[in-house]
Amino acid sequence: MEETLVDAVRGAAAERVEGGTTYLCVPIDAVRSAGGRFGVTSREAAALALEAGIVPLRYLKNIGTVGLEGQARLLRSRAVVIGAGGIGGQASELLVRMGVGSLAVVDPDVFDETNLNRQNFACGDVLGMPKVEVVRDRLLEIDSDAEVTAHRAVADAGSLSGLLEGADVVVDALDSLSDRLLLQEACAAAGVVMAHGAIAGTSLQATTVYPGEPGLESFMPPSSGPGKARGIEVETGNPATTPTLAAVIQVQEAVRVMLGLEAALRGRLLYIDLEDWTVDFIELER
Amino acid sequence: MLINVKVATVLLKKAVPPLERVEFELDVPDGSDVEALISSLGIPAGLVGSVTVNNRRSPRDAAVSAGDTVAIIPAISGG
Repeated sequence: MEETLVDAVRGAAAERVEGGTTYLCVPIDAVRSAGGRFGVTSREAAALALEAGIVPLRYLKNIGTVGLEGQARLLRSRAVVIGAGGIGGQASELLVRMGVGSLAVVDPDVFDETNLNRQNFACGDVLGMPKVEVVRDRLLEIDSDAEVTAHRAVADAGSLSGLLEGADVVVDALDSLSDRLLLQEACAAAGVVMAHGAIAGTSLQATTVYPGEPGLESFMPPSSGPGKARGIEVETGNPATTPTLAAVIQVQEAVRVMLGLEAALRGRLLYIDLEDWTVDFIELER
Repeated sequence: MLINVKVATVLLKKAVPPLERVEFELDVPDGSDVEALISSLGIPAGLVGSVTVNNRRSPRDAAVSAGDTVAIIPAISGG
């Protein structure tokens, strides 16, 4: 009988005990070459292997939280991260490490010195380079099978519908109230869930907005005139810590959505202040 | 009428004059709404994001009743 892709992968697999469970595990190289032989991407080959009960070692430590089928599902999902700064750079890395099938990262900016305190992949050598290109290149070093597209573009009414095409979930990593509201509208129009997170100094908020739900409209302050509406972060700044925490929370939510589960923060706003350990869940209108 | 007020720590210093305590009781005129409360506390309206009354998010024109707990959270959009 002719060998299938799964047969080829199984041939390179070995048993491994992880947390009391025995898994059939395989190096990603074997998955990649089997994929090449059978004309599918490495991502798809990994998903097929997982469905057959074989775990690429790269994802072994994810299995305890997402399961084999869940990991296969993530490998076939598409996430779009709008913003490649403090939140977006971290979120992009977390998504790739969780094994998201494909990722689009959108940001018009280049790295500058003020980004060095917090933005993932920002270092002296890349100042002046487009953030999305640096992020893409670093992500491909982390996982050469990752499918990452860099969009050096402003996410606005004109560009968003194209950028969101095929997305299973969107991570809101923007930096103004007005842009985030625009993104929410575009996500609603595209029928995609948006994992929102924002920071200001030691404060953080997060909620996950389903298409058509009020979401961010629930807490926009009154308009302060022309120009982008921003929050208190213009005075409190952006330390290294809270953007990463926001990214963790938003990616956790995005993973839930890609797994077909309801987001934990649907319809409620998580507000945290690390200064005095305030942690509040605020019910929003549905 | 007496109400309970909770102001996010980061907003205390933004109030004019600055507020000293995160939680306090306040005597407000009958018929006050959330917007009037924010104004009377001297907190710039543009810095306020969510306001909850008895832990439910409320619009700015929501009326406040005696014994209510009103929590004021800053507008946050950094990324």
